Amino acid sequence: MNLLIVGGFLGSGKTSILLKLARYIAGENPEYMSKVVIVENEIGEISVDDKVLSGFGAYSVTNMFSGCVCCTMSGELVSGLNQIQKDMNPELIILEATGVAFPHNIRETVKYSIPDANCRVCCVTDAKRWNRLLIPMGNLLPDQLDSADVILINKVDTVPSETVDAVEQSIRQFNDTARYFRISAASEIAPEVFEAVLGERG
Amino acid sequence: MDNKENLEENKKDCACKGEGEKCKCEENGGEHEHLRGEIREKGHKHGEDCGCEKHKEHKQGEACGCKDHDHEHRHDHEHCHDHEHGHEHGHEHEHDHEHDHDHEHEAHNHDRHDHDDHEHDHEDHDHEHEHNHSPISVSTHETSVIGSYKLSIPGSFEEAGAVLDERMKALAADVVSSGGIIGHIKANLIQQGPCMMVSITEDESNKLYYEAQSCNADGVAIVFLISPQRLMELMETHFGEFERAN
Repeated sequence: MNLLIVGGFLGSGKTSILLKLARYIAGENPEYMSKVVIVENEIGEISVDDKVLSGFGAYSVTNMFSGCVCCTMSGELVSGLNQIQKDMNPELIILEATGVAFPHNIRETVKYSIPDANCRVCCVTDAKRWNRLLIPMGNLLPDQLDSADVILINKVDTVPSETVDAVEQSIRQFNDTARYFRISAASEIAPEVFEAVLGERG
Repeated sequence: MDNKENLEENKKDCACKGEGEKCKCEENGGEHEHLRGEIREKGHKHGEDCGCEKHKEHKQGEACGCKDHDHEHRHDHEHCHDHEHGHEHGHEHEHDHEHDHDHEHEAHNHDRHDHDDHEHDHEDHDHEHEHNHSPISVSTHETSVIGSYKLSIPGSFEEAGAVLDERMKALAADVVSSGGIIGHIKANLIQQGPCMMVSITEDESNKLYYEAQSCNADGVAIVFLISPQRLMELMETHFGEFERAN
């Protein structure tokens, strides 16, 4: 099982990036879309992003809402992933975590229950709001970065470059081992970014 | 002063003007003649207009001594928010309790009831029914406060979109001015397209085609550092006028 966990705070741009990533994976071959399953997890009673994702392509989108798979729904996550693997045998499962999830918790849960899963974590950050949110959300934002393989600093087109520099410096305090990319999901994202996000798939 | 004098004295100050049956309304100083209704205990509840201020409102869940308005409420309450909502059967109850959304009224048995602002008569009926609930609800997850809404917004897609956009921006501004932090506020707006009603009475069906005149908005507001009650208030302010979308 190849699992990509896309995490990051609410509003950081996870869904927008995920849409582009799914298109990149599908490339010119729409049939490949069926090989990608997107799992949407939302803490609210109402799921919004799954409709958007479904509306943009023939991806298989499944929902897990009213809870967070990093904590309250971790059991459902494992059974859900196993079911997807059994029913659909996709080449890649992309899990969009809730905006309050700790992706490393998800990875630990998956690795514990599905030891042969090839699990990667991509965390999306918001260059525009990082400095504003860091103090009030100090119990959440830094831990979301923990053990991410790739960190995308999104919305770099909305702030001056020196602000982006400062944001990256701030983020690196919490994870200096990840690969960093500065992107804007509102425009094109370079293929090498997606390749880094996906890593080597088994 | 003997009892008779007491009664006469009470009549002077009572909104009921001394007509009708007996009442022990404390506001009026003791037993006196009354326009309508049976004998009431002091601190009476859930009754029709007897003229005293105390009868203007009644609380959900309290005992009702009013013979014209004899129904009981049964709620299955579970979770964590306080809210107010308007009942479908035409009179306002004030709620201040914790409960689950899937509650139901059981056994409404009322043939007639009067309130300060309206009066209606109808046949006896016993039924169970689901509440058509408020289109908005609030829950929590750790430090986040999650408002959910399912709105039916009248008008074309463009009109409903403009209204939704305006209301969501206003909600966002109020969250910030209340000291909160916006995680995100987002919604899907879906246009109700062509509709068809199929009707069969014998073998053949009749089909009636029409266009729905509204759009549905499903959304969430995930915020931090404000209370669930405050978010509910703000959502009531900005979304409260809309019906719940199906």
